[in-house]
Amino acid sequence: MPDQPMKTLDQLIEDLGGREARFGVLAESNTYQLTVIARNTDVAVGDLFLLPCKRGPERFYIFRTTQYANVMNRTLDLNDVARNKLTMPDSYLSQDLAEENLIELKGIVLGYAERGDEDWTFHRPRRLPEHLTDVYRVNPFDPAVAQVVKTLMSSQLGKDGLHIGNLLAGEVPLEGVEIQLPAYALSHHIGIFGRTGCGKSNTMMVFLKSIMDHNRLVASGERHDRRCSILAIDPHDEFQTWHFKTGGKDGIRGIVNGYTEAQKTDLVAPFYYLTGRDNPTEPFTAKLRLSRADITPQDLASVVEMTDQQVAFANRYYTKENMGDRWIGKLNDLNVENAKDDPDIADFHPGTIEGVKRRLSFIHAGNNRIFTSYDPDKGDTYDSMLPDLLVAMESGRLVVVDTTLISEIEQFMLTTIVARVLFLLRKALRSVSSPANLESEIRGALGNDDATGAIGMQSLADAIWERIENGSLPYLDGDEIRSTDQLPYVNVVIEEAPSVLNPERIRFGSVFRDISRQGRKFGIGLTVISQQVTAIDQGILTQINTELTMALGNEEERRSAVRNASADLTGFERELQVMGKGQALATASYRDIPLPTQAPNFDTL
Amino acid sequence: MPAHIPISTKFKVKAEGLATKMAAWESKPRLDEITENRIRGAIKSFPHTNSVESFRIAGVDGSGDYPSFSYADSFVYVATASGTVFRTDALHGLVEEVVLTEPNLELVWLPEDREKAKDQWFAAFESLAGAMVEEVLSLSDYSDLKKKHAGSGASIDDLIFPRASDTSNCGIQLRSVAEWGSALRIILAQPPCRYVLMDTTLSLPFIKTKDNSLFHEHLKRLCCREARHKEVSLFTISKSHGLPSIELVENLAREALGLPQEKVAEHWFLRLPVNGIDDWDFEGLIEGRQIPPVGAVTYLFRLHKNTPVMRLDMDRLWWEKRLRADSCAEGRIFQDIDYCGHDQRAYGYPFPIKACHDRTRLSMAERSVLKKQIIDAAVAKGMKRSLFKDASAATGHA
Repeated sequence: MPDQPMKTLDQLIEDLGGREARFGVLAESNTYQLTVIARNTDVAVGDLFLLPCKRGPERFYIFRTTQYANVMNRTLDLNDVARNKLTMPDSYLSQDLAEENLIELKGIVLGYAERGDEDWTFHRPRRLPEHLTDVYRVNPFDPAVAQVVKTLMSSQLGKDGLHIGNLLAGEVPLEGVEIQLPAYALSHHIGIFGRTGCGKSNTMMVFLKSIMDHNRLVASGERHDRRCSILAIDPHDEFQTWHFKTGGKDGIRGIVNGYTEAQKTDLVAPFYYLTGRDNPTEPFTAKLRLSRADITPQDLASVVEMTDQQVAFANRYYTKENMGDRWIGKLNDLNVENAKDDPDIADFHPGTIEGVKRRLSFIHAGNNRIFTSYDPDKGDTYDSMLPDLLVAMESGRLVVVDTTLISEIEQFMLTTIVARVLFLLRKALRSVSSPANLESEIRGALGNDDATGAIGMQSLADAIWERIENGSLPYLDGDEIRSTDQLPYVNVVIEEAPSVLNPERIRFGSVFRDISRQGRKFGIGLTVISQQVTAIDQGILTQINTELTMALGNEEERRSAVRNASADLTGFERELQVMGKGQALATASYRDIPLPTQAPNFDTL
Repeated sequence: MPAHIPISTKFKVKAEGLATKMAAWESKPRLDEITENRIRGAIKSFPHTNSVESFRIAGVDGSGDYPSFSYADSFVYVATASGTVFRTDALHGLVEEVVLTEPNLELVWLPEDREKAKDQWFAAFESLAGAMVEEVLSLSDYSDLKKKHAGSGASIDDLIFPRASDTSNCGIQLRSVAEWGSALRIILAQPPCRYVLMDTTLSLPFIKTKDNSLFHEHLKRLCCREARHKEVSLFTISKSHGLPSIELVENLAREALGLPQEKVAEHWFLRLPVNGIDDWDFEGLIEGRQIPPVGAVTYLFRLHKNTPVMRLDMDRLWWEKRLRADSCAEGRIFQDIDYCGHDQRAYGYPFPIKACHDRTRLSMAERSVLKKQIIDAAVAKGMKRSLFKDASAATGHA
């Protein structure tokens, strides 16, 4: 039930300022386009208007202007006036309150809200307002008007979710009219597209804060939902301290510092910030370490360009007897000439083997800051925080990874490994029938099978099972297998996404191909951040069902954004062209209409 | 009219006789050479003005339906007036501001019986003027002027109220009070206007008549007084100045400005001689009319060749105080008015008056709607619809 009695159409008109506040009148209209004649006012493309109508049940149509023109009333012809003004330089046309100077707005109906028994419900624009309907402008500076919009569009705006910004009326965000993504959107795939300088970082900060707020509310019982986890790549090392170093607001660290000790344990520990820097000293921060044992040939193929032969060799070498997660160390030591004597790989050309070795050169000292050696035969044991990272992701955590000091390949390798392993674990959890089978199922998913002698990711499997047994990885609920539906919504952010999600890389069996198609089933989503839409593989784009499209660089990108959006962006093309900093068009398959939004300035939150 | 009249011999003879009389009257010499020279010397030019300092200027005009309809032996009149206020603006020329949110509107029911109608007149005057009748009479300087020119003051008992069926006089009174009532509201409004312009004159028809007076005469002079106090320039501007042979003045203006014969003199003004101040008169043109009106000073002026010579009246006391000894200030007034006359919709005429006229004017359709609404309301109160008559339609004049 709504908190307050539902307002009638007449009451909402009063909230809009009554008939005196009428802005214009609906003129010729059809289901494709509405035309409104209005008084001479400073309007902007994107301004919102409300059209109350009583043809049928009480309805408010929501109209968004896509273009407007200056027109003259009655006998005056605008061109004549302009000619006169030019040829009679001292003449003018006074700006009077009479209806001589008018504007003609054209635009689209976003939809309509219909008064139901208990609430106003939003519908797609299958109907038209009646002839000569009064038109009210959504004045973004009037809180009462914003409240009317909120009432009418509540089902589209979302609630109890992740705040990404406020609804834009033209150029101004409506105070109190928040657009929220459902928490489950994190387990789907999200696209954030925008050119440099369009405000992506601030938008991400707002988004991350919303995730933290959500987890805090869920933990305290104020919100009934699942927790959310996100692995947020931070290429500029901004998210932790934001503008604190220059005297501005603190970032995630500030939020964490505001938590109680219990909240820190429940919502943050063991870390929220990983970095390539040595010995970070702040609480809940750590140096990022992964092991060479965490890398599989599939990860490599997902991140760097490899030929079919190279992929085939890497897979064969990885699955050799007694190889598995030791493959990188062994391959480094492999003399290519001696490979001819190894029957398992003798059929591969030396050039192919050298090619794979070259592609692994990023883990060599000098290029590598995060990957530790792994060679049990030489005493190099498994040293990786991947198991703890997985525990964090399965416990509802936000983990920011500062990638300023690590190479691009290391960054992509990190996201690839985390996404792949999470995907495999969730998939195994879904398929296991009883707790007794859980270990074998997980080891099997990681390619570690004693029965067949396959080593696979044995070190990781051991570490994971240890954490399942000690309860830190919450896959068991007493004697029951925990359903993936009880685990947090997990999201892995892929920065500079075209590097790993371009059509060429996806074609050669990237882990992201599977995750993009099936991750949703297991509660794992990707956030694809890119300056270009066109550079992303079409298969990935079709799987994205929540888009935040910000200002884009050129017409081709805008066309691509319109084509791939999850909601019809017809009529919003111009919006994409004029979008300001922090503004975005939010589209989602679970929403009926695109919502123009302005992310609040994180410094003011 | 019978169709044969325009071609009948009798009509033609009468028309020629009329034309002969008119031509003789027209050719009568009106001004002697001395007066012509005085006029030439008094004509002053001012520059075409396309930029001014910032000020507010208002236009006031009225309209109505006089009468809207009749009911039995009573009449219903609709009186309305309003004012528009503009501020000067470098970008738009003039930009309108909201000052009077509602027009001055009154529905006046007048029974034919004069005594019974008196209360209705008083109520209508008070509503339209926005002040009590006694208050207007006591605050206005009309009575003082009347004492000077008629030998006696004016009292509330001697106000003239025409019969309800005397529609033209009823219309003049109601419309004038509506207009001057609007002017008074604008004069008193904040922030103040530098100018308030009205499409009328400052004539006081009964100022020289003993005892009798019209309410709007008092109100007119009250506006002059309040304008003086508020330092507002209250001017009436009339296109229909009623002066015969105005082309004589136009020719003199052309000569005074040194223009060739084929040119039309524009951007000039002429203050008509004031009795007791100037040692010449304008009798040859005004022919006994009270111009300037009592208590006023009159100018003739022309803004642009496309518009006629117009008449401007202002309060004499204002003129004495502000302009008599300041020819620069005098010229600046006409420059300001010229600037306000450059709107394309009324080039050569002060746009605030034109804007107000357009805003206030009641179209036939609007009159019909008002009439219908009033009658519907009356019928809802139990009155007979059949007894309502359209006064014009009933006599076949609609």
